[in-house]
Amino acid sequence: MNAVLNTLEQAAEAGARAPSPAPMLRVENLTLRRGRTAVLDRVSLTLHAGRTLALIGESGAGKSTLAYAVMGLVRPPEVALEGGLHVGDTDVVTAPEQVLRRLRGTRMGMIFQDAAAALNPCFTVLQHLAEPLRRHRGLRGAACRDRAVALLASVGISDPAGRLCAFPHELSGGMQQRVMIAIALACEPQLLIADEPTSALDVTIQEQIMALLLERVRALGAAALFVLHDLALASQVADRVAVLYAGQIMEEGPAHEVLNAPRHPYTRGLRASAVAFGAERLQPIPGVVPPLAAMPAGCRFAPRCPRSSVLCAQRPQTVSFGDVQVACWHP
Amino acid sequence: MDAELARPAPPPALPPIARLARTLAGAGRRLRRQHKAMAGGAIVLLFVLAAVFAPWLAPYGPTQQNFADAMQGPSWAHPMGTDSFGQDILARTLYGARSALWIGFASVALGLVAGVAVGLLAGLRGGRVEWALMRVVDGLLAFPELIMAMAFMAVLGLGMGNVILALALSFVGPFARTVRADVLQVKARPFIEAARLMGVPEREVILRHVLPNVAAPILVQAGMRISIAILLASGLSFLGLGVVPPTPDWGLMIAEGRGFVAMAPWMSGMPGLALATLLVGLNLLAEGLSDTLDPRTGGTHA
Amino acid sequence: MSTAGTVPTPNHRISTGTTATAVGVPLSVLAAVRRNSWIDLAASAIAIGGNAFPSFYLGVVLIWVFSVSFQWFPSMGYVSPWSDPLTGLWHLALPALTLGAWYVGLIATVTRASLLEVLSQPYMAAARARGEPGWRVVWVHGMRNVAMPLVTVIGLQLGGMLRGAVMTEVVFTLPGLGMMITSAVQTREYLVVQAGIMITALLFITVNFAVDRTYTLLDPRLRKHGR
Repeated sequence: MNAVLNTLEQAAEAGARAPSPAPMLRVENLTLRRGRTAVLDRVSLTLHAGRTLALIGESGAGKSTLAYAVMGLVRPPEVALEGGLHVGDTDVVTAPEQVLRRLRGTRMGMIFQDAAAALNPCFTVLQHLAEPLRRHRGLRGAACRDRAVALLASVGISDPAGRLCAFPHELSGGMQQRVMIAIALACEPQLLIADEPTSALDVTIQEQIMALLLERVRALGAAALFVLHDLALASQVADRVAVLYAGQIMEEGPAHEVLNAPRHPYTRGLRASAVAFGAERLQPIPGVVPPLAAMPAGCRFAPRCPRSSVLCAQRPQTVSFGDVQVACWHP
Repeated sequence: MDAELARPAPPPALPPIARLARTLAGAGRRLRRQHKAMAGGAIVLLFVLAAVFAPWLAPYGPTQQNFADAMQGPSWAHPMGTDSFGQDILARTLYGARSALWIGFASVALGLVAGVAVGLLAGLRGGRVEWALMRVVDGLLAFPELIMAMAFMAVLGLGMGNVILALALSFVGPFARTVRADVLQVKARPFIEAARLMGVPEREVILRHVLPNVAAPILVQAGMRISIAILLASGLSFLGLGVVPPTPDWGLMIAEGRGFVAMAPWMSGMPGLALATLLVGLNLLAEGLSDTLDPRTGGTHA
Repeated sequence: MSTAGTVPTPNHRISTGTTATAVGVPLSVLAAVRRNSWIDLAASAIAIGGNAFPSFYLGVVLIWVFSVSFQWFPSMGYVSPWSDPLTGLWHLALPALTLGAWYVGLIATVTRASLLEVLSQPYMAAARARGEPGWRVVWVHGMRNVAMPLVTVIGLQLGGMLRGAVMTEVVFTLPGLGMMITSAVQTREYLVVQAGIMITALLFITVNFAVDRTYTLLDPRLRKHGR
């Protein structure tokens, strides 16, 4: 049944390429500990080439940590990693730093939330772009410059040649983010991670940037992991959605199913708290996220859950509803 | 509607004194967790106590000469040895703490008052007054402090009072500049304009609104200046341009001992150690204080 | 009074400045990168000690240790390094060490504080995410941003250097500018004092001005738009 649903989905997507058999990103029961607390608790995800996955969660849920972990930027000895984390055929958890360094920028690219802060104020746009081009592609001089201009043009920057000498503070917020996208895509990565790419931008620019991102990703046939906290945005850009709460994946499945017909109480709560036009009252989820040091054992959402019971002291097994995986005793 | 009524009433406004006390108490609590500041504070306290109780702690008078015992190494009779005049070094070191701390505080206090006055005047008046005053300050700042202090001593003559005066004059420049910058910043804040618009008289605006906001960073800076003042004072005495012998002063003692380094290293060694320790303590305290008060680095372990 | 008397002072200070920077910067970079390790503690101790120890006392101590006890270095006298490099540097070694101790302390403190702030910035993580090796991230991406506060402090500390230079010149009997002013004050030669102070002030202002000029070079945000 799952296989049939998958194929139907593929066929339904206009112009989508068929995903390669081996997934681009495979996270299997990944646990990340800082000190004694598990910041990520047995997280599992799969992402195939050409598909987009939106990782949704509140602030502090661990989304950015997961993104950094995938890039291999968070490693022992600062943290303890258990479980499987594979990018392509490389095991990020056990691979040595040199191997990971070759992957970063070439196979994997990352876009940060605040472009103004993620660009070094001392370097020009050209210097930023030249860095990965020189290191990973061996381009120098005129060839490097030409490629930089082409990259800037591909992200919709007018007068790209003129912008090469600009410093980050001389660009607008939207342009800074476009430059960051250009840098991340410079070596045509197969996995792109975008950590809240539009949160720091004006609403009017957000749509443009997201559209640009999607277009570039699809053109490359890359897999994309979007870290977001905006449900509406997720529904527009992602094929699949994974909901993260306090380091645990609560629900995961195709975007339209998870967001329109959520089964996990947390996802339902998220859906309900999104403000509908004309609504009179806000519907928050009662309670607050417990502090890292005081995380409950078992399901971490249990203290705030309307359906919690004694069972919830144990980590729930994953239940499948078609293509949707739900981690709950009472879906 | 119910939510609005259920919100607790805002706390009553406290008079500035109480607010200052509360801020200090909060700072005191945070301070206790700062090891740097605590260590520095302990050292400084030790020296202050030594200075205050010097007459009782010293086994001999500081200028009591006894040529029979001259140039003795540390012993039970003279824990820090004696100098070339037979004076007990421990006694002179203890009394030296007095002169060092006194010069340090007095010169900084004087310089502070003068600097604040100039800075306030310049910052609040603006226009030509400010321009003229700042040019004078720029002139003062063009000289390194020691050189200027040396020049003042050349004109004023030697002695502790003149040292204090000379150092205070050298400090007016830096204080004035900082105060003026702070005043300009505070002046632009909306609550000053609001006070003026409400008809508060100018004098009251200055005293009740401007001054308290300028006071905090200046006091921190003044604290840091004390160690510089002590360093400069000792330096002047070392060069023979400070206090008059036989006043017990660490700089003077180091200079006297310099010629005898081969035979009696304790003559320079002991007072120098005391000076270095006090300076380290003052610096630690000042750094710890500024770490606590700076919202960005406060709470980070040094 | 002769202007020849002022020459030793710049030599002394240049040698001090270079050694101090060469030692202080790498030390504090290491300290900042490996926070709370023993390197960090050692660097902090050196920084605090160097900052607080009065130069004249340190000079006397060094004389006692190296000249009197070990007899390795001379305690006084000056030979121009331009005429006889080896002897010249031998004579300058202890004075440079004395003055340098304070300077190294200052550099170390500022570098460490600035670098700690820079290390937590997003553009550092972004550089690593592009596959840059760790050392390059710190030294190229990081230090560029530390350069400005560092240069400010180094340049503006000429005043403190002068103070220390005066002390060390007196302690080690180097015939320099500081010594000249000191003896002039002691003997009430007002004209010499005036001249010495003017030269000092001129030096001070020139260096401050030069430091101001380098700001725009170091921090692109300070350059005027429309290049």
